[in-house]
Amino acid sequence: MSIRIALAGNPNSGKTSLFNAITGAMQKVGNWGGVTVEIKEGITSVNGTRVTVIDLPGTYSLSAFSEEEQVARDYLVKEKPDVVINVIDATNLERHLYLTVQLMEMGIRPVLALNMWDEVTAKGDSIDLKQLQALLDVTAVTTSARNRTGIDQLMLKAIEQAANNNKEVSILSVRMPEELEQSITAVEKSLKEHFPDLSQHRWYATKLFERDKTIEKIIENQPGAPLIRAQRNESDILITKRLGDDPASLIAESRYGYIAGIARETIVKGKQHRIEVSDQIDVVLTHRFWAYPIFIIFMWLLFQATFKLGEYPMGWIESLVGWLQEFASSTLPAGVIRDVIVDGIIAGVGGVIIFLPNIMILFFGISIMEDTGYMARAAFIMDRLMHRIGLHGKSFIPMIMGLGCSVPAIMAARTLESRNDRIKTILLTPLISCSARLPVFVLFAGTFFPKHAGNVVFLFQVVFSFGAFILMAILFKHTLFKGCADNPFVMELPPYRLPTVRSVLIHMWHKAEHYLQKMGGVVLLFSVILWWAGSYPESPAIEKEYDSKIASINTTGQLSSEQREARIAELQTEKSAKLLEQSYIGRVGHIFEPLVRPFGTDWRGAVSLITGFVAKEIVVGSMGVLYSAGTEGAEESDVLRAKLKEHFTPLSAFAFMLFVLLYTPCIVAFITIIRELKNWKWSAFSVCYQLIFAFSTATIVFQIGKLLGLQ
Amino acid sequence: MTADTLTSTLEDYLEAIFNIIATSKVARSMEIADKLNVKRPTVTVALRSLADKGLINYEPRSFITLTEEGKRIAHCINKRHHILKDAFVEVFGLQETEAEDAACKMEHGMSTRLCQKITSLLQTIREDKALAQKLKTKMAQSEDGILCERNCLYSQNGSGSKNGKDSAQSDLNLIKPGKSGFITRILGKGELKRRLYEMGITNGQKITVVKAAPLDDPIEVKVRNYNLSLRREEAANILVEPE
Repeated sequence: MSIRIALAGNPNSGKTSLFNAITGAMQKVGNWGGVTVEIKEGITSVNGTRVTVIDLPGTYSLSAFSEEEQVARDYLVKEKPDVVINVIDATNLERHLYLTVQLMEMGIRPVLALNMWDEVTAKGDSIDLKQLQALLDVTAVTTSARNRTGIDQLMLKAIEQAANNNKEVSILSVRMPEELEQSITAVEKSLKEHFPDLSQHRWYATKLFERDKTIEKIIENQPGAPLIRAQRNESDILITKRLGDDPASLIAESRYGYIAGIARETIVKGKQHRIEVSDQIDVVLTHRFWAYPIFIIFMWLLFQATFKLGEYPMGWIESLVGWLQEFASSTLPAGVIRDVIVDGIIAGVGGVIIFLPNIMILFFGISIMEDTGYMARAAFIMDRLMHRIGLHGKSFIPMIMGLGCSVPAIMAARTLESRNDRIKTILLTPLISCSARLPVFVLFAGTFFPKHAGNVVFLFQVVFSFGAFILMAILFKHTLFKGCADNPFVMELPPYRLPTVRSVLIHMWHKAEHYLQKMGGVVLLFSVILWWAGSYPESPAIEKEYDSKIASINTTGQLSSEQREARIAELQTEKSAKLLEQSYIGRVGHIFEPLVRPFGTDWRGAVSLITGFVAKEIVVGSMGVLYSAGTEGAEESDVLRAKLKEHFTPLSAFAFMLFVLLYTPCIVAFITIIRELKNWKWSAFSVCYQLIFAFSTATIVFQIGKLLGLQ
Repeated sequence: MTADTLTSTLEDYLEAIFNIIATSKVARSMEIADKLNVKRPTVTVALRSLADKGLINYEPRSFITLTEEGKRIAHCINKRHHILKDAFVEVFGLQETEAEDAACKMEHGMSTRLCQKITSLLQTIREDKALAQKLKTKMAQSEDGILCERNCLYSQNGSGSKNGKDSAQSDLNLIKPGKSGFITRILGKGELKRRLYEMGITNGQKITVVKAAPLDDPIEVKVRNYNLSLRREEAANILVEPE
């Protein structure tokens, strides 16, 4: 026997912790086409019954206005799980029962998990379970996901309920004000007449008064729809006039009225009134003066942990990849296959997993922030500033993390609840200069502005990148997102809680898995393609020419061994440059030359920029090859600096740096953007706007500079 | 608390509830709104206040009954109302409607002594028909010569709240941290309003402003025993009556 149980509940109800407690690490992200919202699935077994547990997105309501609500409701309506467990924060029964009432209006009889029961008893409060079960006609179990208590009982009750499923469930209908009640009944009657196939006509009628777009769509274009809509609209106006409030509000109010009654009958308040620890913590963390220094320290710690601490495992990964490459090239016979494996696949895999330490550490930190409740406070104190540029308080974290690497930063945009805020943040985050762009700035600043190198690097890395971020944010706010009203900020500030190690680790692991599964493959594929485009078509003629040159040097005895080695290295670089020039990437670079000319760069620059698509730090390496200066320690190389001076002026160097700062992020970041946006139009827009922005900025600066007679 | 601290508005409400209950056992806020010709949210606030003073049993959406104390006070107000009205009709010869209206306004804040005096006047007149007739004629003769200030009543034609009773309303932003109010109305439309309702910000609900963020925006409020943060612009849509 096997059953499916769906977990529904508000955000912060401990739903995910409960899900983790039930299913352990055995979970996967369900694939539900076209939605950005994840539904997780886990499997467990209770007394021989195979139980699939589905973790629905956390929602406050089922009104289907947000994507989360839509997904949760669709799942309940279409997939019809055997049992729905409604996870409730028992310390906040009243608000959490709102969702319960909505579930019951849909004809679902949930099993209530009164979670965080340990907190209720710690406060000296209680809930009259018997009374609650009797009043709502449901089964309720007290649980604590943190202490892992009550979970077996919960599962047993859920399975019991599944067995009784064929019993007729009475649909809850909350009493509304008289006029509204009559109007709903009237619409219900018309619905029954015109849509006899629908079940739960009352629910549909109520939803129509709540102006539910999905339900309106269902009846749209059907005979009878205009009549019903007219009926609804007329009653709507009448009720609004008479009762002073629109039906949607009255319905919500009626539900809360019903809940207030239940709460009054069931909540047993303890006598003790101690000052809540949570409030005391809050006094410090959102203090008028201390809030920001503390926040900056936390951000600094998170940043340092993510990128500095991350360097160690990244080093291990690099040496492991290097070792693998060596091992493969020494064991495999020379040829195309060896090249593909060593330089394509192994290098590609290395390029993918190199980001894992960053992602895991960052999400370790983020899930601690979320589980403790500090994330909401961070948004609370930052919202004023971020809202000025049309963003949400929580957008701050992706923005700061962007300084390290765009990939985890873009993933961090997940913490934003509204889709618009998420899109804006994802579009803007790549503008923040990641650490991989730093070598380019160091090289160019050191070469062309040696006296002010430090300041110039700072200018690009911090001033220009944040400037671009703010500028584009304001531009987006007034153009693309002009029509869109700001999403309500209305955000719960949950009490501070200690996170459990288990839940933090599961979250971290989950992110890593998500990254590997969703992005790894594509990134790998693209890396191999880019490697191929940089190495093919092969040119035996060039290879032969240089090989013979090198051979001839080896045979001539005129040079000392040192001179000979230097000459060989020179020839090797020249050979690489020639090979790269006639490769596909080199050819594309030539084609693109007219596009980089306006800001003073030649085809070599174009090729470097294209290779920068693999990873930004490659730009410097490519330049080393193309300007025939060797690749070793390129950014410190005096040879490269000298060569660059031949091809760039300080002005064109400045323009080139601007372009590097602003243009499309690397392939991994780009795939991350696509995966997180889940929308081709926005993804394409993301690339295009950055290219256009980079091109026009670099060109304008270069051309104006030229007009002003700057070099 | 006793009736001493009841405002005249609240006395009106108590009386209305008393009268509705007299005819139909229980009262609903709808009926009260109808009877007093005010908006429902206003009623909700008043009911909250009465419930707080222990005069009525009330939960939003549920019916209303009077407590013992409420019954006593309502009875008392009702009695005064009738005494005044009767006096106006029988002694001054006013029309029913005018008498009713005047009684409604004057019944509040009437001292027990004044009540006694008027009652005794009424009784005297009722007992002595001749005296009543004489008084009426005398009064009718002198009335024309007496000049009374006109239009002391506040004209309500201008803009602003529909009836003076809404004047105590302000939006949530005007509530100081640490202070509370009762929600009277939520303005605006669409997603914000819906979201607020879903989060339990409904008419008649008590809401406490906990604090403002360091940069003064957003603010943190406590409602239904949990904490919520709102931007100032959102809070401006929530009208409250300060506690």
